[in-house]
Amino acid sequence: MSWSFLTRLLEEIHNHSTFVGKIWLTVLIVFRIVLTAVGGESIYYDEQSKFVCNTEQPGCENVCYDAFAPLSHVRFWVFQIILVATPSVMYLGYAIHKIARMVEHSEANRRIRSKSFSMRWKQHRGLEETEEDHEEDPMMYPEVELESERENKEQQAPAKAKHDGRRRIREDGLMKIYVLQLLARTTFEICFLVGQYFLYGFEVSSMFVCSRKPCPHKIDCFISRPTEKTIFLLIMYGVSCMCLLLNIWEMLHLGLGTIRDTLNNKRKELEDSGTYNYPFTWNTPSAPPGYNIAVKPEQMQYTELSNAKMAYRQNKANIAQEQQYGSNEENIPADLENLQREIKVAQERLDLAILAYNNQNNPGSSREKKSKAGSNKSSASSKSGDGKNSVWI
Amino acid sequence: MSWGFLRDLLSGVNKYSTGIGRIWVAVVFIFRLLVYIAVAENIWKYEHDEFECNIKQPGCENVCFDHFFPVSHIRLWALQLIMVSTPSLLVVFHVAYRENREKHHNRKLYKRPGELDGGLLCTYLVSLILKTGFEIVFLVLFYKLYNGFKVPRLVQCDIRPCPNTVDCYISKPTEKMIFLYFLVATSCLCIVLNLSELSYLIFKYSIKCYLKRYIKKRQ
Repeated sequence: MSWSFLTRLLEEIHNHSTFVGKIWLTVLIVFRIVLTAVGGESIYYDEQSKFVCNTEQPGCENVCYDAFAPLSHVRFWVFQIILVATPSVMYLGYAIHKIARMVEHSEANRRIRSKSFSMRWKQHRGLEETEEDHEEDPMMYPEVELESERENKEQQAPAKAKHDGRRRIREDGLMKIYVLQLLARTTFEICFLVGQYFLYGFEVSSMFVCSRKPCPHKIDCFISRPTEKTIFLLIMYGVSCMCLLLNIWEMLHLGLGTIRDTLNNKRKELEDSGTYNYPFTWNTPSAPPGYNIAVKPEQMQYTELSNAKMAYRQNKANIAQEQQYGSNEENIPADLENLQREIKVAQERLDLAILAYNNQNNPGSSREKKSKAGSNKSSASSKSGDGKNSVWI
Repeated sequence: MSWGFLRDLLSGVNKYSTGIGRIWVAVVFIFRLLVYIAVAENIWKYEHDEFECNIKQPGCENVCFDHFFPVSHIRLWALQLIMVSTPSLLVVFHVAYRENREKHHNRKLYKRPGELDGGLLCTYLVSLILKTGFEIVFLVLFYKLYNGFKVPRLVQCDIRPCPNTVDCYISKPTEKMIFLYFLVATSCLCIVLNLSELSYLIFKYSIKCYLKRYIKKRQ
């Protein structure tokens, strides 16, 4: 069996995965493919020729072998490996396709847009459509254009069409599909584990009693190498469970990181627009708010200031949301107006402090990422002249 | 047999190893993997077909073969190769994790992600200990399963459905014994290499630490 094609494909997938995804891939290749190839070929090559029944009746052995092993272990494992790797392969195809389109799109845009700051909305859709039209749509995310300095970076970036790491995947709008393929993989893994249990149990017995036609009566059939097959069966169970655990770890890794990132974004979005939709749920990681593939995320340093600001903005958003949706009266504190006034003052002070701090410490860093803002509002996220820090005017 | 990936993996590991580590990779690669693929596989290829018992009772041969070879030598050898190469993956993962972190925070956190210091040194030492552990476990397994690396010419078997005590003959016993001894010798060599690398690293870094502390005290 030639596994080289699948291994080459899997190496390509390697370039488009998160850190945990890479571990999963390595485990898949080393433990499953190599083990199946090593054990499968050599243990099972004589499984029918050495399947001996205590009878001379012609045809009885064939029939009994078929009753004993409707689907051979090796074929089952090979099928399992192929199906479990398929979601990753499809994701790879989609990722490459999407990146190619983004490259085309960014190149086309570079020609027509001006050098100054401008902002436009990019529509985010799922697998079915990746077409670009500027209609308003429930799931729209602001895409901030960068100035000329960044444009140069964009020119270079399309050259490296691979991306990895949670952040890049998010930026390129592939998070949704990545999560989908992760879920598909996990589902397949579980299905195969359960199927393996119902088909084969945990042991391969050394003797099999068979009474199908044309066997004249109950006869004993003997299986070749049952102990070795049992050991390999148990090993493959173990490896399947390990892959399942890695999938779960990756989901947690994505989930927690996405929560953190989205909170990070909320802090920046929360600025003056007092009322805007806040469709934030922790598991809508999708979308890259539309930074182009070129832009690398530069994260603000986590300082006490930043945390405080984050918390503050969260509070403000909550209040704004309650206001907008007109929540129950009992939830709104009596002195809301005073509170809001105080908050506004505190916010301004905090803004100035953070600006000063940033200018001091990070002269050339921190481009924050935008969160998924509501569709109806154009949040006034603007870039200052140096393009590094955002100034919330 | 798709050992190509294991070969690539070992070459990847080479990058982050010390000098002795590279010798270890070469030994594993040449003396164990290559010998396995080129030579050993063919010796054990038809072990079941050529295993003959002095009886016509159907099923007796199967049962006797299964009793004397619960796991064939060659499979244990292959498993040993896979398990012994795998801890090196830990080091590769750790370096990938470091590079991931650098990208994540977008600044240079490490002098060189592949440099053996701090956490990576710990991972490397752990991988060395794991490798040695696996080698020893497999050697003990071989010893226990096959009564001390011996391959007899004749075995006697009386398990159902064999009607009485039956003589069974193993094919190529001497050749198999020679290669078993070869396997044991290379295993021991690898254990020695791992242990010497372990002690060398511990010695080197404890001297470094001691010197640092000594200099600090002086200042």
